[in-house]
Amino acid sequence: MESIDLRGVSCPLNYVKVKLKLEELGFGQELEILLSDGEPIINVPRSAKEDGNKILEVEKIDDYFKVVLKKG
Amino acid sequence: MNQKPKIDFEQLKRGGVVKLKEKDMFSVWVRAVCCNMDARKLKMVADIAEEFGRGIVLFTTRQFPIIPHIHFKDLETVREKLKEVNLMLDRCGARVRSADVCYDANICPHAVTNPITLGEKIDQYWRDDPGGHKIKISIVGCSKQCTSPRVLSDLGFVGTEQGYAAYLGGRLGLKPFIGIKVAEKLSEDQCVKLIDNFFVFLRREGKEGERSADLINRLGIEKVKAEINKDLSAAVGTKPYICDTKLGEKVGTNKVILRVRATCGEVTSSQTRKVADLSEKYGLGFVHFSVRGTPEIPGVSKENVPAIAHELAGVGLELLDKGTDNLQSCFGSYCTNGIVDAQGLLRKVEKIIQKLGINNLNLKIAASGCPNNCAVSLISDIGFWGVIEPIVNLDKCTGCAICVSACKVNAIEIRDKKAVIDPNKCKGCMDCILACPFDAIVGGKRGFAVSIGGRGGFSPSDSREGETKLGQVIAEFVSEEEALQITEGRLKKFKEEGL
Repeated sequence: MESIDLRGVSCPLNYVKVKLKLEELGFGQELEILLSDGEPIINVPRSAKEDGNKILEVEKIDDYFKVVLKKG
Repeated sequence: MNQKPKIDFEQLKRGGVVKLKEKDMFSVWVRAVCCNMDARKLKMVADIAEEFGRGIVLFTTRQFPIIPHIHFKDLETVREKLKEVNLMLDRCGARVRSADVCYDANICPHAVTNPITLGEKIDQYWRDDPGGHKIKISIVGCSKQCTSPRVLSDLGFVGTEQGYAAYLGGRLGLKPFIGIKVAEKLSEDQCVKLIDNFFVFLRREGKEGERSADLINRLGIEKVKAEINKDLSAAVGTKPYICDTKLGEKVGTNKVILRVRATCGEVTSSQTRKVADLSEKYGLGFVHFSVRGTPEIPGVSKENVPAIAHELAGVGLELLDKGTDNLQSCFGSYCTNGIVDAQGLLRKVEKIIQKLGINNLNLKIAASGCPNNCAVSLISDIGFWGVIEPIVNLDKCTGCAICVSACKVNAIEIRDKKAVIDPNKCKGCMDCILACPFDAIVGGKRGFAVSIGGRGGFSPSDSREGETKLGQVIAEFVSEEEALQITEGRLKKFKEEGL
């Protein structure tokens, strides 16, 4: 699975990077994203979902989150 | 194969673009130094709105123009277009915001200090900001406090005959706080040092995302006050930015400031171009943006007012008189946080005002799409905002805790791997509903909250005594129809008894 580490990257840059990564993937492919707590974990999964992708998994690890999404 | 959109990551790190409800659509925030913009720049904003947006420019409570409905792929082109006229994106999120000022002392007859010259000196904090904390600063030149600095900014500076008084902690939103006076009789350089002290202290002691009010609540006002008052006579090496709309001398005594009615802050591109043209033809060649979302044309000779009113009427605009202040909204109906159609409600309120013939009150009415209250509803005579009740679907909840991070009022906790919401703490903002990736929190009842009696300070055409105070909530979860009935009742009372 493709993975992108966006810990420490602020909004809206983190989401733009997710979008660019998703452009490289085909429909239905999965992407793992690491995100900081606070604004990034609140905004990025939400924007990804609003743009038609599906969030499969969210796991809190120490002070950050791992999110797995499926391109829609 | 689609062409990859061109994106300048360094620029995006600085913020200034905000996602809207519609897929791939953003609003672009355009910086207005000292809340003014010269006609040429404003026309470019209007042109961009027409070419890349939907022909609408928004004037907001933060006193700069926003261009809504810009597609993701056009963001970079828009930024380049702005750059052509020396404009740049403003900031959003957890960053130092552009300082809000009222008027140049050479324009406003009430000013006892010059907000522009202090604004120039603190501009470097906007330019050099590494991000991490939301910090808003407002400066006003007199005790009328037109820009409501005590509640709309973390640091509010109020001009007095003896210098500036400084207030700390102001914010609206879900946890409103009226700024507390922390210093007085400050020179401009002492204000800069106080700001510098605050930034150093916040970055050292502040937890992630904390604002001034949070610091005061956590550490106590006395400790914060002592820290930010340290060595105020020490010089800070400032790099002043020269505001291109600053005046060198006083405008004549027959000059006035014309306020243009812009209900909901919405003005079309052609209307915006007309306002810019009029500022060149009759004014000082620039337009000022006020807290209540009006574009204003300063420095106009009284004898030209009828001609200007006539020209404005030609594009469907009118001047604001004392009837009501501008009916101000956020961009609720297309904001991702919008719970209700704030603009739709206000346009109906406007009809009620016309029907009742209210024309002699400086009434302030505002509507926000959600309890974050970007339209300053809580410091308005009548204020509205949208509220929604969140309900957890236990079958879908995975206990991932994103909602706990998202809730700004700590109303949610995870018990047995499920989210539990405390209805007594919940403000009905929808953040948890939007943040949940599994649709496990859904909206129950939704509607308007209504408040009355809010005050943001004095206003120029207003002789009422009063302090900054938050409105009192008189209804929650009411339908649009009920909100309008309440409003009509209040307006009739105001008309009979005055404010």
